[in-house]
Amino acid sequence: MLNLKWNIKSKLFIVVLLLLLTVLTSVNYFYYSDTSKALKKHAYDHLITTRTLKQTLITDYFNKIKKDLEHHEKYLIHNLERLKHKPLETLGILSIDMKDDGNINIEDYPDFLEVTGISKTQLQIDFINNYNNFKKVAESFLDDIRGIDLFIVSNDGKIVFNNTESQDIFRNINDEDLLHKGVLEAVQKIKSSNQVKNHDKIIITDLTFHATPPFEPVFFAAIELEALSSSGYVVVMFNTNGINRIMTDWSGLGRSGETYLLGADYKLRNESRFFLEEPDRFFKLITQEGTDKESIEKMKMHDTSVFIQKVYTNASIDALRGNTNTVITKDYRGIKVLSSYSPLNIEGLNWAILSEMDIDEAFDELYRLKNKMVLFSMTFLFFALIITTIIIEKLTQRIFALKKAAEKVSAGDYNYNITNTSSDEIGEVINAFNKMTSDLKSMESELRNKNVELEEKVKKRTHELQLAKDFFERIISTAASLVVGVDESGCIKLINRAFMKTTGYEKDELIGKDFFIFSSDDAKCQNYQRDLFRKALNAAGSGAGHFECGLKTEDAGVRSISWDIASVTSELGEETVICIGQDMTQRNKLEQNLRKKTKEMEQFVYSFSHDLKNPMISLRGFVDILVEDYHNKLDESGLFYLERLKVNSEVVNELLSGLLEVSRIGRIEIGSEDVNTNALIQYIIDENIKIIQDNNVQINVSGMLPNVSFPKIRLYQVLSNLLKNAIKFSREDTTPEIEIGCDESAVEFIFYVKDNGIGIKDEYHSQIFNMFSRLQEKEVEGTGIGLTIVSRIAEENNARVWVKSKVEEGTTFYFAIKKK
Amino acid sequence: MMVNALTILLVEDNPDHVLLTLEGFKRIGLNNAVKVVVNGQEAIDYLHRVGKYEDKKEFPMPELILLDINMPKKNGFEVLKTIKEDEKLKHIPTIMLTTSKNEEEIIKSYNYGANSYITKPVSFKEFINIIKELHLYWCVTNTLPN
Repeated sequence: MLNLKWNIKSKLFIVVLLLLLTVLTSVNYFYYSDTSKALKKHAYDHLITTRTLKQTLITDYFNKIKKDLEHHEKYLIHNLERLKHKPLETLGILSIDMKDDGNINIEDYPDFLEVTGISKTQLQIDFINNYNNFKKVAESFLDDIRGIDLFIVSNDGKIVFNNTESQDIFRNINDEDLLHKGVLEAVQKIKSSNQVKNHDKIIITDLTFHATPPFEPVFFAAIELEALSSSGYVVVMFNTNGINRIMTDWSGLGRSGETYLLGADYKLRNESRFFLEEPDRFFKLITQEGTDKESIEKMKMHDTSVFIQKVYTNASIDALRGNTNTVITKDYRGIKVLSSYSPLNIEGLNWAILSEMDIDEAFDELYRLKNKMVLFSMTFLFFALIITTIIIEKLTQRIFALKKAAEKVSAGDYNYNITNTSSDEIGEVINAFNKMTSDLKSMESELRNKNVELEEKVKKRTHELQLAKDFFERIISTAASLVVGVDESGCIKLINRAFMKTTGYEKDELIGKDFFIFSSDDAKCQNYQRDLFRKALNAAGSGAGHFECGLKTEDAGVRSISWDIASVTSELGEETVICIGQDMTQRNKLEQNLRKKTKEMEQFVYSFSHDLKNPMISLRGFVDILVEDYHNKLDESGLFYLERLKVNSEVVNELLSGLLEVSRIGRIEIGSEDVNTNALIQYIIDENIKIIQDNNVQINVSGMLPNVSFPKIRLYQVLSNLLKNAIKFSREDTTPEIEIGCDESAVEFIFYVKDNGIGIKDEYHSQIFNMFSRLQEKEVEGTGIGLTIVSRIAEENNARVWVKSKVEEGTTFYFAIKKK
Repeated sequence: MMVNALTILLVEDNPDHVLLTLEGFKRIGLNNAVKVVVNGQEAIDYLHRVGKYEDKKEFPMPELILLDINMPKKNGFEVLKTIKEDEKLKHIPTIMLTTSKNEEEIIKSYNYGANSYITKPVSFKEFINIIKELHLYWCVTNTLPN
């Protein structure tokens, strides 16, 4: 992280700086946001007021014109009525003629002569009087309403009177050559407004240029003439002086504010302030904003911006749509302004009024406030940081001294002390530090002494250990057994001479290698061996583990080794599995051979005895027939021989049966099943009930016998033979008593059959399980093959059989079955 | 002893054993009813009435079969299998005869559907007793289907 590199000084400084900035920012923010709102509102209100004022003034101006015109029209009508003959026509005729030479040729107007019936001279005088009188009236009228020209248009569209006596006199207003097109416009407007209900009596036209130099902008106001003698229209021309007087009064608009009127064509209807005050800058700015050269030339030529400069801004567009609002936008010079606008409600004129002020001036106070605040904040921050730096410097000086001291002490200089001058918390820390340093100093020397002592002890102990180790290693290396030490994964760590001799590998070919790669070439087999090893290792926890595995030799042979393993932990906590192995190769081979030979033997015995069985059966049959059918025909010694023949054939038959039974045990494998031994014993007793009763034998089964997993027929054979054996070897002078039961060890069920018979001498104990051994001292039937069968069954099924016996006291046979 | 007209088929290769068995039957009065064949193949031929066994009168269908296991050509198990797989023959009670008490053979016999099993006893008297019991059980007590 970045801040890890910063020292405490920078951190403190940053914290203070952040704190100050936070405080300043929030104070400024709250103060500024409140004040700026008020200041802005003030600017808005001011501009709106100015615009409203101008709007009122302009509206009043036009209303006054209308009112004046309406008022003074009566005066005009009154004077028209006083004129003789057809006043309108006479005015027109005179105007034309006067223009040419001042003479009126009365003969040209025969209509007047016929109608009036007066003399030509009189008519001429009347005409001139009419004109002169009306001209005076017209001038006085124009004076009163501040118009600059007057047109009277007859009902049929002829201009019958013009105060300035222009060429338009007696022209029809629809004439193409009409100079003052504004007259036509005014008349048309009033005609069309007549069709609307409640219309103003007076209409006003938009601005237009005067037809003659200096081509100033003018506008017209028209009213219908409703005289008794004739009717028509009074059209008055006005210049824009009245409008300009109102609009170019910029009081309250500061240095950059102005109010202007716009027509539906977005063109100015009064002079731009900037055109008047700073024309050069004005032209530069409007050129940048896209006003074309022609318009600029025109403005320069006519010395006016009215009706030429187009104002097509957001404010003007919205105003001409009829909306009133105050916004911040760009004006026609491309300068950001605060603009307040509204449409102008004067009938006949689709105008708008806009008051605008450069934003810099409008919000001047706001900007000044902002600057003041920034300046104050910076100054405050500057001084505050200087003070902070000084304080931090003072504070950290001592901390750095402490740090330096700590570094010295940690480097081992316990003589370093800090001079303390203060009693504040840091001062206390320094005192504690000095004390700690001196304590450390004394502890260190003590420690050094202890260390020397300890080293001596370690040296001595190491030597002893080395001796013990050497001794141990010598034992291992000279042992006849194979010894190999591996870690838990099977990596070889140590080996002895016998191991190397057996495998033929050198030490460096073995150490560090995986032990199990020497067990087999096949990876699967290696893993299997490894599993055996692990299982044995787990078992080794409760004693010594054992497993067997192959061992490859250098000359491509394989030895079979039986390993005893135990885990040994060294003083360092390192665990080594010590495996001590016996080479079983030779023994295994012998065992295998023996097993094979035994099998062969058994097969031979089986075939042989089986083959002998058939003739034996025949032999017995015929002997029996002889005994039964022919005993009358034989003398005594013949009968005796026949009897011997019968007894001997019986013996041979028994022997053969025994042989068959024994040989079958190894030949046939029978699977284990869950055997209820209680039921089995009962079955055996029932089966032999005749001899039991004949011999008056007491049989006692002690307690409940367990269920065991064993081939049922084999267990039957075992128990049956042991029981028969016990009955067979009973003593003549005692009631035979036989006890059958089962003891249990951790790993085995141990069945026993105990009798109180003749017993067996110790020297015969090892022989009784041999085939056909006859031990009995009294004459007993049977072949002695029973115990051989039991012994063979034990051998084949991983069980054990043994005997305990005392002569004349009795015998106990034990048969132990491995628990599952 | 009641003389019964039932026919018994004895399948046995050892002529001495045949002699002794017949002697045994004779002693309980059954000699006329016993038919003898000397190996497995002949037993099958007899039962299927093939070759020389065509004559129904001379070789009637037996009501009981005594079958030795160890025989040349077809052994007792093969004959037993043939009998028990044949719809017409399988109802005939078949009793296995053998020389030794061999678990393997006992189990195999019952698996193939043998009705009983006799270890040939050495004593002739005993043998006669067994034949008597056998006859009593299979030919008198047991009601056989016709």
